[in-house]
Order: sequence, then structure tokens, then C-alpha cells
Amino acid sequence: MITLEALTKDYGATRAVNNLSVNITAGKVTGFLGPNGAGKSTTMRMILGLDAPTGGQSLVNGVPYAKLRYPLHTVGAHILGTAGNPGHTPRTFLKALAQSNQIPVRRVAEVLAEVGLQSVATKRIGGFSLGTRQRLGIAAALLGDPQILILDEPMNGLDAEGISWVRQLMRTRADAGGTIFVSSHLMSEVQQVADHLILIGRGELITEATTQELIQEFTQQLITVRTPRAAALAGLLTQRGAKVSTSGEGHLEVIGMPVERVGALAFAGGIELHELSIIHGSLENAYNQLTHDTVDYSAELTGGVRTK
Amino acid sequence: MSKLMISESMDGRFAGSLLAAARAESTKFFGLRTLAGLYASGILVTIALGWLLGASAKASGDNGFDTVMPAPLLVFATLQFGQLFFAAAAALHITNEYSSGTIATTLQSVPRRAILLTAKALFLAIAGLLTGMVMILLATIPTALSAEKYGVFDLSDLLSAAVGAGVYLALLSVMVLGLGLVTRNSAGAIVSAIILLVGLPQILQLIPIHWVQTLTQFLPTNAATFMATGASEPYGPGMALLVLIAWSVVLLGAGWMSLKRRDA
Repeated sequence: MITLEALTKDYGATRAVNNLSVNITAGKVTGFLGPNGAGKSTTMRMILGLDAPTGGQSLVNGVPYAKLRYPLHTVGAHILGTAGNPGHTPRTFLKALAQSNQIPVRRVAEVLAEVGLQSVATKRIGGFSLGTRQRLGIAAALLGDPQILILDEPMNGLDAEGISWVRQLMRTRADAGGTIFVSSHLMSEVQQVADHLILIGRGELITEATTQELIQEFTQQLITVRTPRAAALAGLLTQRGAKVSTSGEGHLEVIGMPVERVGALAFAGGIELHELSIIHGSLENAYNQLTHDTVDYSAELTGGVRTK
Repeated sequence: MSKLMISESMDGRFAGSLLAAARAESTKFFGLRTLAGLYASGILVTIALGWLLGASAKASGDNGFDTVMPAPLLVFATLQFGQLFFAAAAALHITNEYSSGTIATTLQSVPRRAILLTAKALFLAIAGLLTGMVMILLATIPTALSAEKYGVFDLSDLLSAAVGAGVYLALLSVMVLGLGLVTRNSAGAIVSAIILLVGLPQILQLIPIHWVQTLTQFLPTNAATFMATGASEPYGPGMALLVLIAWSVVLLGAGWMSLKRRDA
């Protein structure tokens, strides 16, 4: 169990994480989602005691991380871009970690086999691809057979086989009672495996719910209508209980009414339509909409928000 | 899946964690070709320079100059140069962790900064101590052979040079560890170490002001010489050891503030 209590981090005048309070509980895969720069890595670094919070605190099984004597037995973590010194071999890198936490050195060969890196155990890490380094970072996280796993964008650089392997690994360990906290900036990477989702943007909690709840909430049908008499049609539809919003001149978005009924009401009211179409909501869309306002480095985003 | 382990401030547990962390530091150090290579080069260069200096002492002596100096102290004199290999290794041992990002993994495995700092300093000090002593013993043989009668020495010369070199390399490594923790940058740490060990003694001795000259005598390289040669002027070996310890405490203390106060 990981507990964040009003966790806050400032870098100079920039607030990277603002008053974040959540519990990450055992037996589940918890997805930690947000755009680049949302504060995911910073939050994870504070949990691991690498960066000191400006305010609030984070606890691992009720104590600050730095109070764990041999923490690798309790928490395994892979922070992006930190898997080993380029001049070391995987064996040396893992052996040093094992020694520092009184882990039997035979675990080194075991985790290397578990992540499929036996064949490069004595090669220098500097020559590895991003995917291979990710596997090595995950091997380091598994070394102490910890109950809690914290993985920062573990699927970056992995091929399809690697991604499905990471998902399987997280699922298996969560089902065995583990606490799995995995960050990603892509909903598609985690929605299949995460039981619970925490969405953040600009360091603040946007929403937190089970994956199932988020899907139900956001996958209702959205109907878009183009008409020269938008106001009249909006009034008509609202009267019949639909939720209507305007997304531009002569352009309505309707939720909570079947498309046939929207067409029939427009016909009965003698309102001319130029377009009447259904957009199938997805969690991906919902996530994009939710984080749209919080993206720091926003390019032209409208194309990405709606997929017809 | 193992149970939660919480630290207690019991001495035995601190020592256990410290030894575990120091063992890990040793594995990391010798697992890097660069660092092991710097140590090996430092030893080879010292042996070669000792032999050269011995040959030069013999040549001068044969030509009538009074150049008799015990062979172990001739070897010690070459440390003016050879020390840089060990200083670079100590600097890279910590700055490598910052440049590769592995400091994050290191602090995850040893989250208590005091244990990590002590483990690094302890490992480097032991490596420096053993290397310094063994190196003097090894290099004395070719030096004594090449210097012949101009390098005669007794056991006390050998012991004071060996212990002096060992203690100096141990404390030097701790000083440079401090510089590395403050700069967190390989070039910065190595350049500042060279300035401290070679640059300042050279530059300051050119300034003919009394207090500058006095100050120069307290630089680490000069203190090391007074310690190993058993000098009585301007101060003796005991005082020299204190001067070296003071440098180590100040620079490692600065490194500690950086490790403790700044984010990894």
C-alpha cells in the first residue's frame, strides 16, 4: 500500500505536483496517467525518497521509504532512464544491488532469466537497446521479490511481445496480492491491465476511479449535429431530456438520446440538418478530453481529441 | 514476498547495512573498466617513475651530486604525479552515478544518505589505503635496483613511506569524493581535484608573500610529503596527518550537504 498525503513539489517557481492525495492499494494494478510533464515521474521519485516533497508526505506500508532498512525487499521500482551504468554488465549491476540489500546473489541469475536477458548477462549495458534496458530495469525491480512494484513508463521502447509480457507480469503479481503502480502517458497502454486509474494533469489529480467506472462514464454515445438552426434544435432536444453542448457555430454535441430520436425530432420541428453522426466514445477519447486543458506542450490537439 | 523491514538506530544494524552497502560499492567500482584501469595505471606509472627516478639518482650521484635518498621515499615523490590516477578514479566513482542516472537506483537500494556516504567513503578509503601501501612495497624493488647505493634505505623508511602513501591515498579519495558529490559532474570533479592537488601548490609557490607561502605548506600534497618523509619543519608527521584529515572532513562535509539537501 502506498499512501500519498497532500504531496506537493515545487521546482523553483514551478509547481510540479500539487496537493496530491491518493491511496494505491494491494491486489490491484493502478495506472497512473497523465500527459508528459504532468508530474508522474516526480511523484514516483518522491515515493522512493529520491526527491524531497515541498509539502505533504508519501508512505510505503505506513512508513516513509527512507525508513525501510533493505527497501528492495519491500518495494521494487524502475524509474525511466536509470537502468544501470553503461560500463557495467547486467550481472555486475544486479549483483551490487543484491549485495546492498542482503539479497542472495543467486537471485541475479533468476531475475535475468525471468526478463529474458541471460544471453546478455555479461555484455556492457551501454550497447543495449531501449527495450533491453527496460527489461533490465524491471529485473532490478524484481530482485528482492517485493510486494510493491513501481514502474515508470515500463512499456516505452518495448515491442508488442514485450508489452504483453509486462502486462502479464503486472497482472500475475497483482493477483498474488501485490501492489502495482504503473505510469504511462498513453491510455491504450494501461487500460487493458489496470484495475484502477489515477489521472493527473499539471501535477493535480483530475480523477480517480476504477477502470470500469471510467469506461461506463465516458463511453456513452456522442452525437454531433450540424444545422443552420442550432439554437432552435438545441432547445428542442433539451426539452426532451438530452444534454446538448455547442462546439462551434452551427455545431451541436448531444449526449443521452439515440440518434434516431434526434433525427425524428429535427424532422418534426422542420429543422434542416447538414450532418447527423455518431461518435463512439472510448476511454482514450475520455482521457484526451480530460487532460486536454492540462497539456503543457499542446500542439494542434483538436484532431486528436475526436476520432470519428 | 518478504515482510516489511524498518530501520532502528541500533549500532549493529547500522554496521550491517553499512557493510552491505560498502560491498556493493566495491562491486560497482571494480565492475567498471575505467576505474579498475585507472587504479592499475596509477600503480604501473608509479613503478615506472620510481625506477626512472632511481636511475636518475644514480646518474647524478655518479657525477658527484649529493642525491642519496631512500628508495621508498623516491617512490613516494612520484605520487605528485601518480596521485592523479587515484583522484580521477575516486571522482568518477561518484560522478558516473550522476551522469548515468544510476544514483537513483543506488539511493533506492540505500535510501539513508548517511549510510550511502559512509559506505562510499569507507570503500574508497580502504581501496586507497591498501593500494598505496602495496604500491610502495612493489615500486621500491625496481627503484632500489636502479638507484643502487644512492637509494639505500632501512625498514623504517619503507614503513613510513608505505603507511604514508596508504593514508594519503585513502584521505585523498575521501576529499575527491566530496568534490564529486558537490559538482556531480565528472569534468568538474576531476578539474577541481587537479587544481587542488597540482595547480594550487604550483601557482601559490610563485607568489612571494609570506602568508601565501605559509598557506601553501598546508595544501594536501605538501602535507602528504611532510607526513611520509617524517619532516620536522615546518611541521611533523602527526600535524601533517591532522591537516590531511581536516581537508577530508571539510570536503566530505560539503559533499554530505549536497547529498543530503539536494534532490537526487
